[in-house]
Amino acid sequence: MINIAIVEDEQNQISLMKSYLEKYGKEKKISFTIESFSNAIPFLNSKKVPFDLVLMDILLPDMNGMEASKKLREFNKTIVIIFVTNLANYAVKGYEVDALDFIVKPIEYDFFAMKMDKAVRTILERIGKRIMLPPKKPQIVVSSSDIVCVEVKDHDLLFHLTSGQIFRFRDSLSEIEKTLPENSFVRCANSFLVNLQHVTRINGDSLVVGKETVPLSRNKKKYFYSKLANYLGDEK
Amino acid sequence: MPAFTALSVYKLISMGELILAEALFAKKLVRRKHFIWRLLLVLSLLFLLSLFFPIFYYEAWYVSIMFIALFFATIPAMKFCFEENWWNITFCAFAGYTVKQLAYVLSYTIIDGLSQITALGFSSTLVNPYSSSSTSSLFEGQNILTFVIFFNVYFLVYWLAYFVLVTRMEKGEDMRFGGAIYLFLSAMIVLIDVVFNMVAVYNMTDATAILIERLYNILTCLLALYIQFSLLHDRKSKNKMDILEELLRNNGKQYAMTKSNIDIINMKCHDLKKQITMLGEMKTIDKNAFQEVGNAVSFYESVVKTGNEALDTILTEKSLFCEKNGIKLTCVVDGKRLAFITPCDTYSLLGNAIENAIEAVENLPKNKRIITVIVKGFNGITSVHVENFFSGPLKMENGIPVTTKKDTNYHGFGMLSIKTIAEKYDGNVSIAITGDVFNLNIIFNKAS
Repeated sequence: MINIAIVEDEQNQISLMKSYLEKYGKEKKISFTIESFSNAIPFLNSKKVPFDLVLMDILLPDMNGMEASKKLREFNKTIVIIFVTNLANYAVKGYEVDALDFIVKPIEYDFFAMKMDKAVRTILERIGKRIMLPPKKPQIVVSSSDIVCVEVKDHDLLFHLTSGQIFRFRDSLSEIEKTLPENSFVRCANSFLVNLQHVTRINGDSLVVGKETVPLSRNKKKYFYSKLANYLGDEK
Repeated sequence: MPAFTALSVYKLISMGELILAEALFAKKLVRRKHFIWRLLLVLSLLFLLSLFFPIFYYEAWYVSIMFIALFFATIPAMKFCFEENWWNITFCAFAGYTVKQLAYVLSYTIIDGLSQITALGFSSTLVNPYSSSSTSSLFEGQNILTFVIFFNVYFLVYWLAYFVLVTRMEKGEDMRFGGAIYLFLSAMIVLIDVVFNMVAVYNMTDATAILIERLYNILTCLLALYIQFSLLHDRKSKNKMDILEELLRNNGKQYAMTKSNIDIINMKCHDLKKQITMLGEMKTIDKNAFQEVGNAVSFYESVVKTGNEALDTILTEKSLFCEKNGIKLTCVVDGKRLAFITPCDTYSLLGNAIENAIEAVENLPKNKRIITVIVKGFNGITSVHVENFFSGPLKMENGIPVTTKKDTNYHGFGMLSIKTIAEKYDGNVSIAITGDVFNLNIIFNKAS
């Protein structure tokens, strides 16, 4: 279930987007909840339902979409923002608010669907996949997006979680690797598997993921960069 | 001496084999007008020449000269039929000769070898096609099996040559390579192939010696073919690099030109807008007229501003083109992220990426003509992303798509150019396909 907010002052545009979402939802077998706002301010103040995606017009009364997005990012770093506008030049600056992309008006279905595909992938990636650890005798359930990296030490695996907790048990890294989402988990060295979601810096032979510094081996460099390139191109 | 000796018939057969072998390679040559007539003329002349070529001596030196002369006669014959330079024709001629020689020696070696294995009950006194004995001896002691083997070996060798070598060649390709190496190569082939073989045929009687000579001959032929084709490959690569450099230089010129055009447009727009505003304040004039002018100016407002001049230039140029051709180009671009790349390289990099995307979408239905460019980054990492719809099969080689267009000389350079520029700045290029969307992803890390 994906929660979507539409911030748009033209009613016919809202209806159009709702009908497209319905069509899209049927095609991809995804269900959405949709709430619309004709003004950015009530949207920002809305505490009812945490939205996964906001389709934001730029030309709005009182506060324009770009301003509103800046304010939004102050307290919400994870929501996916897609601008819907005919002001292409404004939207070029979308990176300033970490917007995923923008859709040009008049909105056409194929364009809409292309961007929704990306948005849905990003949202699902952020939610992550349910992982039970250890796999054979589950003690805890985490989301794959809570895993910062997996390290091999002696014959054990160390799962570094975003909470700071480290979960340790005996298993094979290659087996575990198969259960984790392959687009975000990458082997950067023989004994390390990192989650690209949490990679913040790369320094030649090491990379910073979450609070950990992890080695980047020479023969995995090219492969790592390719995976990261595709990951960044698709989401974040 | 009998009227028709084995050799007098064989030189004709040999010419036939040679022409067939050269034909394998000539398939990749560009034909002249009235090709069929030229071909018929030339074939008749060659056959007449080989039929009437006098055999004054049945000795190694004379026969070598004869076969070499007949071989060289095929070269102007090819020039007459094909619209190609001498280098390309000579390349095909030598390749053809080597293949024919290979088939000939191999078939004799196999037949000789098989007849040694008495268990096969296969005895043939192998006819010497170079002998001065009468033609009837050509068929003495032969059984059908010998012919079958000859035919099969020739067929196999020619087919392999086609499959392994000719398929690597491209029509209209430039087969020239370094003059000196080539001359040496050709001299070597001729010497070993023809002369030594003739010496062996006319002077050797020891079976072991003959076998060894044949094996050396086979190896030389294979080696010669290998050298010919790998030199070709090297030359192709060098050629590609030359063309690439040329294209990049052209891009540089184009960048300068487009940039100055856009500066002019910018200036004019600014002036125009000022005037319009002024006129608009005079309440007596028709508002519709202004609406139209305003719209025209808006078109020129598709000047993109990303904070990076080179990016502004290429994105504006491409968005104007896309607008004219019914393609939607959208950009989310943080220009500062590419500040470490020179303006010319930025222009080429994005230019090629967007051109590839345009090529992919221009024949798609209107609603799928969408290209998106996203440049963003964090902490020293810069991501360049271009996505577009595409249709049809995609041929990949080393993770990079290879052009499916027939004219490979100039197509497919976009990808090579992108890769070259990216690698110049320690970047990494990667392709991802998500459904019917093609994603080009380039990543740079300036923190390392």
